[in-house]
Amino acid sequence: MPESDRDLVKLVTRGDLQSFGVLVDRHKGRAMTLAVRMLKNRQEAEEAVQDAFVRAYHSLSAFEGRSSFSTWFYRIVYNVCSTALRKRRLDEHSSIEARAESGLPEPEAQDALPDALVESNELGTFITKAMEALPPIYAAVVSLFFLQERSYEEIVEITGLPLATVKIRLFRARTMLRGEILKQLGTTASSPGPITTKSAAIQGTAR
Amino acid sequence: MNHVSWNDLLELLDDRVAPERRSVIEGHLAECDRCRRLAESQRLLERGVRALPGVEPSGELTGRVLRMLRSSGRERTSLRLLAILGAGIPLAIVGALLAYAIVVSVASPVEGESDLFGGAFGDFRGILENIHSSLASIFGTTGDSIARVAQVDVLAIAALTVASVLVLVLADRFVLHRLRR
Repeated sequence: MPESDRDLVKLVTRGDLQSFGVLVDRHKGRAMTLAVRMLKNRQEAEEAVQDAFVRAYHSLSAFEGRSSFSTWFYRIVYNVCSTALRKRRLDEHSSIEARAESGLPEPEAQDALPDALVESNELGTFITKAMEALPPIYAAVVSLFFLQERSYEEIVEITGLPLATVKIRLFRARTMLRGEILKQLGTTASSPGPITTKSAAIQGTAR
Repeated sequence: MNHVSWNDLLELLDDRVAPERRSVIEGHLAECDRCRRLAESQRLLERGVRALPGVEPSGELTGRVLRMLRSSGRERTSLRLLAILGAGIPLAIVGALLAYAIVVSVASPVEGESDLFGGAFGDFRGILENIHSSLASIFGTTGDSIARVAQVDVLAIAALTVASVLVLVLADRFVLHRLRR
């Protein structure tokens, strides 16, 4: 029976380095996916993941087990990638925030993806391209939410962001993804309109 | 006719909408082709995102990480050893001096030296005198300075010993600090 992460962590703290190898094998794929989505560069991503594992090993004694090992570890990966992004002096954060502040238009009915695309095998290709175009801060939450199937609360724990920010980033990321695919299709992403438009029937309904 | 907001639609897809609100939204989707199509295509898009293949690192990653940890482990052991030695050597010197002082003062007390360490300090003074006379013979110093050394106070010798140990400890800490960096 494969050992749990927690059991492996105990073995590692007792000096069993091979058990750490098992943890690396278990988490390297998802860590790499997160790092590639954030850094948009395979080589840098691999270096970041390697760095994250080494850091995790050295601070394993600080792991209190309040959250799962994976949540704790992906937080390290996220932080290492964020630091790498800062070092790269990407000003995407600020420019995207500024763009987002101006308000993303809400998709309209005509923005529903064409049925032919949705049913075709090409959708994956469009999605891959759209993911690559997503700025790091949004790619990170999309990767955690969709690819790692993390809850909002877990994303809060991993990124250290407030819940409201996580929700906003995810909301914007999904809007951008959709917009990017429509752009690739040569369609207008959307027509201007407030994000918070509510149905008459829905307005006034308590949440 | 107003439609379901984009935000409501996403919350519905995430299953994070309150039950009473869900029924209102679903009721609208049942009637509105526009919103239904939008919701359906978004659902399929997100299913596509979930189905994206992960990115695998090179097969050597695990081996590389373990090699790095092994070598850093060896480094840490060496540093720990140095730290032990670094702290141990000055302590051993101080301990040896004290032990020597006690043994000498107990075994062969010096006349007129009432202190516990009187004998030892007497011996230290003797050693100092010998060193000084050797130096004096080499450099041709007069006998006056030898006489001055003979008058060196016990306290001065003690202060000199403490200062020497202190310098040794500080030098030791400095070297260790540099090594750690």
